[in-house]
Amino acid sequence: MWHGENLGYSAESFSDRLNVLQFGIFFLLGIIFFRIISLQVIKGEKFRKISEENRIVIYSQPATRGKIFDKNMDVVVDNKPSFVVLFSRQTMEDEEVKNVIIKVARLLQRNDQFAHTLIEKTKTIPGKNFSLIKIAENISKEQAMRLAEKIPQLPGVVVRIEPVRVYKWGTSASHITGYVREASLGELSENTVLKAGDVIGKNGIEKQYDEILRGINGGSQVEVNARAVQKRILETVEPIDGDSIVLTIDKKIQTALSNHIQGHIGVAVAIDPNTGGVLGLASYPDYNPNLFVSGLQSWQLRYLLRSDKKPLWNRALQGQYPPGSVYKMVTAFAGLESGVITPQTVINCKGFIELGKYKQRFRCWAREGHGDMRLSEALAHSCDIFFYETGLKLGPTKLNDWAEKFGFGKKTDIDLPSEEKGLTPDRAWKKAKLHQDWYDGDTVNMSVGQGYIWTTPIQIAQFTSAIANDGIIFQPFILKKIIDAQGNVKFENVPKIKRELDITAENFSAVKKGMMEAVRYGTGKNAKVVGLSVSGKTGTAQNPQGVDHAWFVCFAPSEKPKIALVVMVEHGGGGGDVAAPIAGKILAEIFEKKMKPQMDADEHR
Amino acid sequence: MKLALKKFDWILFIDVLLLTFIGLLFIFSAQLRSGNPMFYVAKQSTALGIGVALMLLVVSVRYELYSEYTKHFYFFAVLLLFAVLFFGTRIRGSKSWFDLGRFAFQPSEIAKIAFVLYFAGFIEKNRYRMKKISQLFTAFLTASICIILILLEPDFSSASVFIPIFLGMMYTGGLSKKIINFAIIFFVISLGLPFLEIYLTINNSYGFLIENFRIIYLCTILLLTIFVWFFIKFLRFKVTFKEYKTVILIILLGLITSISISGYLKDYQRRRMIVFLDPSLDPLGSGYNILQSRIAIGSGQLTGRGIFQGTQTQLGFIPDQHTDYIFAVISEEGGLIFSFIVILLYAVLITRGIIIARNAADRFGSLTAVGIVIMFSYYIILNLGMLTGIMPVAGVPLPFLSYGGSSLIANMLAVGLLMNIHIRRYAY
Repeated sequence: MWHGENLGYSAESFSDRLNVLQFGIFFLLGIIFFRIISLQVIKGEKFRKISEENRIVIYSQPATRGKIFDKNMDVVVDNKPSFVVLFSRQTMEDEEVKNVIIKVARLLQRNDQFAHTLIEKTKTIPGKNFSLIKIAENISKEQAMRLAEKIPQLPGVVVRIEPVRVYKWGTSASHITGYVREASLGELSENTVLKAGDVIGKNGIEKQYDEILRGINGGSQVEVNARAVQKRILETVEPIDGDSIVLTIDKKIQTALSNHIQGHIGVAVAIDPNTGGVLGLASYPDYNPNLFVSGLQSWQLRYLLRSDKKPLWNRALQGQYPPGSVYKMVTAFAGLESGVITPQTVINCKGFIELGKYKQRFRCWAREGHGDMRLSEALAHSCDIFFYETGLKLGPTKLNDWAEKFGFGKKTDIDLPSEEKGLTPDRAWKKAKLHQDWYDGDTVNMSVGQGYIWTTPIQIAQFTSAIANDGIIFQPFILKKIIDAQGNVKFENVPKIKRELDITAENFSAVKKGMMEAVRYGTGKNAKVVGLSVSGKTGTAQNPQGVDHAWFVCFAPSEKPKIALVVMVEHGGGGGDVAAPIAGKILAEIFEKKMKPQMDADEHR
Repeated sequence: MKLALKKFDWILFIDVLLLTFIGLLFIFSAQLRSGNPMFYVAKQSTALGIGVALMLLVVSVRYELYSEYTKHFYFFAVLLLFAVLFFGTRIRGSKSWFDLGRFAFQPSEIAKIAFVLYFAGFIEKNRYRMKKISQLFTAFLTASICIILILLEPDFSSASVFIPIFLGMMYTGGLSKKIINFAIIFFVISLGLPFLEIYLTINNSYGFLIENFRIIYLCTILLLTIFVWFFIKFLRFKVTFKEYKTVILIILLGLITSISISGYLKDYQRRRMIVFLDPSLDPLGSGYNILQSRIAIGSGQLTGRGIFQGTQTQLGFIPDQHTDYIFAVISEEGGLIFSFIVILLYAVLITRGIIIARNAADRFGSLTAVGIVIMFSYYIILNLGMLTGIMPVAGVPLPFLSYGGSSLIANMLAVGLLMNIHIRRYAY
């Protein structure tokens, strides 16, 4: 046989080399076989699972978000059906995704910038590529029809009807309702219940009661092929709609507040002093929550997020301001209750007091002085010297105790998000923060609501309502009840008393008399309403940032208060000039009375 | 003829038929979702019929007769490859098909067999000159005609099969061991370095190295050359290794080739290499095919998901599932049992081929058998290696299993040649 011979000059035979070749081939085949065993036996379980995940896609069917009503069951936030465009990238390459998205953008008559942001969005979907993401909503019926016709050329695109939010009260109640947006990646990772594309509440009630409003999404487990074409439905879960929320807000009051605060940068808050329920809350500048649904232009978003005016900011809760003369009632109660003054105590105001060995002068706002003053007169004219003297007699510790009793320096725990707690300074605070001792000058400043003290308008409202109802501090709240889709009441909120202040009736009546007189002839007479007795107090808070903040707090009717109102205008000027007329107009509108013809205020503190 | 039937290699024949039938079954399964699986099965069966007929025809003529016409066959194949460049139809980007109405026909399939025959004849004729470089060069030139023509189509994977056939036949044909060593060094350098470069790129651990890859490369080559030359020239360093000049030359050639390869790699080829090294880097793009077929194979587990029940197959997650990726279908629906059967049948095919090569009556027969065995093995190993993710992606079909008429017919022809050699092993 020939193959035993040596090959050419080589010492090996054909047979030898054939053996090497055979060994090589079977060696490789053996590796492959072991590889197959490892895939099918050792890792088989894992791959079986992956293949199941491959074919089963969950198409979620969103639950309808609960509605929001005011106390008279007037709809504040509703839902409406809207055409939405959804997209899943499936197995498409980036280039194909780009083509599809650009086609969709053209059909929707949007610009390329829009398409570009969408393309970026498709890249960030976590998890499976079959999950649907929303690429456009609120498109018109014509656009939806046009898209639907082109669906065969647009792989991965789905057009369907989904409920979207309608904010019926629009800008007027924006800081109460808040708005909704698609959950961001960060929020998705924080809250595992959420899935990509889910809508969550931001700000206001939408955020505070998001879980109640949201409901539970349903969906179908669908078997799909590699092109994501539906083959059969394996399981369907019906969505559970979210519960609706009834607020303590009154449409009439809310409208009045927002109409009259408009144009000023500021806050108007109305609370029912008998329950603590918030009747209205307006913060200006406001925003239109509907814009977040229909899609914001980039300049709008820039304004909302970057503007110095901070329109998304709920100033009633997030704004911290020195309270100014509004705080004099705290000093008054503290003085009365600790016995350093009585309603009959007379203090002479000669326009200034002198403190310390350097005779530092602290002036009254009226340079020439008010003369002899009793408490109610001092409140009516907002005499500073009276309260300087009272504060000095009290000392900072007692003054602070009373401030804390009235709820300052602590959150009111109203059921709205991002509340600030303000600040009531004392010796320890000043030492720790500023490394300085507490001087009498600080006490003097604090007794008229200046200096280091910070309060939020909602704290002032809580305080005003406590005066109106003779010493009960209610926790402010905005949720009246929760009702399900059928209208059954699931939860009814009850007023929560934080504490009852032990203040004698005559002390109350002395302070209230002062407040009533302030409106009748004093600094707050611009808030006068014909046929309505109003008790109020102005405040003009000096601040290092610029023009004074204008405050006006009041309750009406004086005898049996139904409403406690706080108006604050940031850098507005004098409380009597700016805030009091706004409060007057609001009260006139609410109680359907007339304003007294405007007069020039002779005093502004 | 009686003699022929008596000595007919029944094992090989039945083995090949079994493979084709398994192929038909799973082509049917793979095409179920297209709604018309019988169309594919019918076409493949027709090709099988033609293939068996041609096989019998090939068997009926003494193969010694072929040896006299190898040059003509080869010339004819080259002519067809030329013609296809001008008159061929472009399918999936490569102009490699003749459209003959009902059947499309791929001349590169025929060229492989013609090449095996021609090369067997060439080595047989020059068996005492195998050590000469000039012989090697001539052989290489004739082989490269086919390779270049097929690369022009362009059909990279069909062209690639010529290299192992060439090397394998030269090796068993008696090429000197030295040259084989040189070839190994050359290929390791010229193919390994581009892979290394891409590997470094995706691992991105040596930023500087990658950015200046080419410069570092050239510097290394220059320094090495100077260093070696310095050693030899001035220190009169005694080199015990006789062939050092050639070795250096080969290394240099390898380095230069590797630079040009990495420079001229097309984008999709680069991507394939990346995907081979780590398919999870691009699970939706280039890595998709590999990942999906791996999932299909794995999910088959021991007993499979049952025929027509594989979700990866029936829902179309496996790409090209009736052609290149048919093994993924088989192992998903048939499990390890079927994977094992298929590999066993292939092992029998290869073993039979090698036995036939060993027992052939003359050098021509042996070398032809070796060429055919290498051709089959190359396809089997590359295809299965690709599906299981241990080899780079290359679009090669699985012999006898993948759908494809001209490939099946050509494979049957090759089996016919093996049979022919087998029947006439005692002719002398």
